[in-house]
Formats: sequence, C-alpha cells, structure tokens
Amino acid sequence: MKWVLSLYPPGWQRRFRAEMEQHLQESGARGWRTRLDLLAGAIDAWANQDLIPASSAAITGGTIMEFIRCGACHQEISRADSLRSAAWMIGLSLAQVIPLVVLDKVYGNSAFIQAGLYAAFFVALIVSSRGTYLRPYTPLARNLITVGGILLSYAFFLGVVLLGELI
Amino acid sequence: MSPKPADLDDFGRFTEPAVLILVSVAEGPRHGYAISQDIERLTGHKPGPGTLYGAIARLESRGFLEALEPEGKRTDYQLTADGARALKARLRAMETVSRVGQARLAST
Repeated sequence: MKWVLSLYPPGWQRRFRAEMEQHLQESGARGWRTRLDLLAGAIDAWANQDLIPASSAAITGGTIMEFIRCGACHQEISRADSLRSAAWMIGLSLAQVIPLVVLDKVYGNSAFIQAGLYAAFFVALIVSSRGTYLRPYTPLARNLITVGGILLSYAFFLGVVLLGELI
Repeated sequence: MSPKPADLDDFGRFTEPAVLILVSVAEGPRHGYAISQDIERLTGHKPGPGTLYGAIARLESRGFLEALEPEGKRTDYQLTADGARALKARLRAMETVSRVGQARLAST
C-alpha cells in the first residue's frame, strides 16, 4: 500500500508521508477503495502543490523526475551537479533532435522519427538525472529506471503518433 | 495576490471532510487517524486517507488548522481562531438550511 504514497509530490511526502504511513498502519486499510482514494489524493496533490509551504516543498527543479520515485526527496543537489545535469540535458536533446530532424527531412513523415522527436526531451531528462535525482539508487536500479524510462517514453509517443495517424 | 477567503466555499469536494475535521478538532487537538475515527463515530463513514489529508492540507494552508510539534510519526492538529470562525459560519449556514428544509418538509 505504501507504494501509492510514493506517487505524491516530494513536498507533500516530506510533510505528510510519515503521518499517512502511520495512519494506514493503524487503520489497517488495505482495500481498493483506499488505494483509489490515495490515487485521487496524489493527483490532487500534484495539481495543488501550492498547498504545501515552500519550506516543505523546496527541491531543486525536476518535478517530472521526482514523479518517478521520491528517492531523492531528502537529497541536496549541489550547484555543480545541477549544472552538469543541465549540460547533459541540453547536449543530449540536441544530439537527438538534430539527426532526427535530418532523418525526418530525408524519410518524410515517419511515425518512428516523430516519436523520437517527441521523446527526446524525456530521454534527455532521464539521462541527465542519473547524476542528481537518480544518484541515491543502486547502479542496477538506476540503469533499469534509465532504460525503462527511455523505452516507455518512446513507446508512449509512438503510440500517440500512430493513434493520431489512425484518427 | 488576492487574499485567501475566510470560509470553506472553494474547497470543492473537500468541503464536507473539512467541516467534519474542524468539528473533530473543535474538541481538542487530534492526529489524523484520531480525526478519522471521530468522523466515523459522528457520521458512520470513515474518510479515505487521501481525502482526509487533502482536506487537512487545505485547512492548514488557509490557517484554519495548525499542526503541533510531531510526536514520532504523529502530528496533532488544533483549531485556530480563524478556523473556529469559519466553522461557526458554516454551521450557522447549515443550521439555516436544515431549519428551512425541515419546515418545508413539515408543510407538505
């Protein structure tokens, strides 16, 4: 059940996670109704992050990566790490987008290339986070999140593009 | 930035749980699970933890509820003066609706 709490924003987790875990433990709530209530609560929490005071919510950027898992909630990201991450982000985005744009010109409207273009940002985001938000994980977990995240991003956008073509 | 409203009118689906939480802590500071149990005693229904803490976050951000120093994993919440005012106003409105509703039902 506690995994659902990981879907809440980091600031929310810092403020309420311990309490909510205690609540779940004491109430013994395990059903689907509780899970759905927590899922709805997580969506609401992401949509209303301003409810949590800035002192509880403060973390340096990267809210999409934080969504993957709050493993870095209590981690301080140094300025050097942030700059390195930003460099990776920009460099990798360009390294993907430039050849894909060229391929797009050569091969026309290919769904695979389009999906690559859309996913490029997320791929760069995931890779650039290896030295920051993903650092607390074991190398295996970091690699799994990286590869899984890249494949999921690409598959998602490929699905969107193909669906768009069908419609 | 516009000042935050001094009532619960914009709480949406959290309005009812928020009122019940304020009623619960009006008796004295309570932690989340104790609030949940009190609400169950009062209404027969226990709010889900997602709903409960969503309402607590709103009440706290509005200054209607104040978190005391945590004890272990538990945090007690107490009613603030603004919270008491908002609760009184809400209960008065509910009382009026109840009185009018009962009167209209009696006349049918």
